[in-house]
Amino acid sequence: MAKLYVLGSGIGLAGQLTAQARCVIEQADTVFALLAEPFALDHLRSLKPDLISLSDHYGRGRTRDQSYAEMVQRIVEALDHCERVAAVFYGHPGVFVWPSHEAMRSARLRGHEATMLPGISAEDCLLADLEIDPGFSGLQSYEAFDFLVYPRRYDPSVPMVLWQLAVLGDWRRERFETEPAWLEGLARLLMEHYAPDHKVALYEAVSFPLDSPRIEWIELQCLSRAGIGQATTLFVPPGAAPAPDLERLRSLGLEIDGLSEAKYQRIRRQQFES
Amino acid sequence: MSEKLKTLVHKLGQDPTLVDRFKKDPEAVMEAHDLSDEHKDLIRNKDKEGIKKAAGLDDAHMNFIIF
Repeated sequence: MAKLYVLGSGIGLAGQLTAQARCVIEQADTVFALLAEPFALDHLRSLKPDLISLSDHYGRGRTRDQSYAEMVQRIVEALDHCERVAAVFYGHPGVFVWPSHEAMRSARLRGHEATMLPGISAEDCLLADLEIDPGFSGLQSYEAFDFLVYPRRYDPSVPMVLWQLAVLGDWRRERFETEPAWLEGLARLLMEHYAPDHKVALYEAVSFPLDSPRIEWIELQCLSRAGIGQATTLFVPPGAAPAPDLERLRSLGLEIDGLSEAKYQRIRRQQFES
Repeated sequence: MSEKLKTLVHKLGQDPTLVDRFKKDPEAVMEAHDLSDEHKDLIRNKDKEGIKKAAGLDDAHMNFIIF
């Protein structure tokens, strides 16, 4: 029985590779990697010179699912003749990464062990760069096309993150860019609960050290004219502060005047309201 | 291929204090890493493709990050 480790490289270069991931990469018999940045790949090759890049399975004119199926097959077949195999994916290996989950499932079906170790995700970078604390007012997070297609019951008083704007409307899963009409549709949906001039942020984490994070505030009604890249995420701040449910308070035997918040919560709520 | 340029980018990717120094005084950081004028220009212009090429990392890598 062999062992598969599924790892994340983080979003930035070597600085976001965890000590755990580094250790596994150095000790594995075979290491596969699917990364977004050649410098990150170069760093992993300094740890494991014979590392195999999976990026050659991508290609225009084929669906992403075809590419991912080939990657999974290649990873799992390596378990038949290696004791320890590592597969490293961009960001967190379990967040917006299908082949990592599928490789683990497939490895277990063949009788092998599989473990996923956490990495730094784009969401982690967003929380740091935008100074968002989910402990303050929660956080809702959706893949943008999923959000557009399915009638999600979301809460406009909770910060929201919508991922992968670049493939919004790509229902065949074979393109890497969206069109203004899809962004317009997303904006219309959001404007059912947010004002047209509600400020939203186009966010991109730093993946190359000479860059700064992209934090571009625009009005929601201008979304269809925004420049969208593969790394662009939409952050929608709360449209209003939440109000306690008075009926619920009564049923719990509580008075609104008796509610107290931690000092940091009061300060952050004032920031949202100002 | 420039090992000096590659080393500086790798160090910037790992050391936030070096990034801070670089933001304040990029010329001093580039000088300390003994970069050529040509490679300094690549960094001054944030020419990422040029930097990758000069560092010998301009293979047919496809930067797809979509699920």
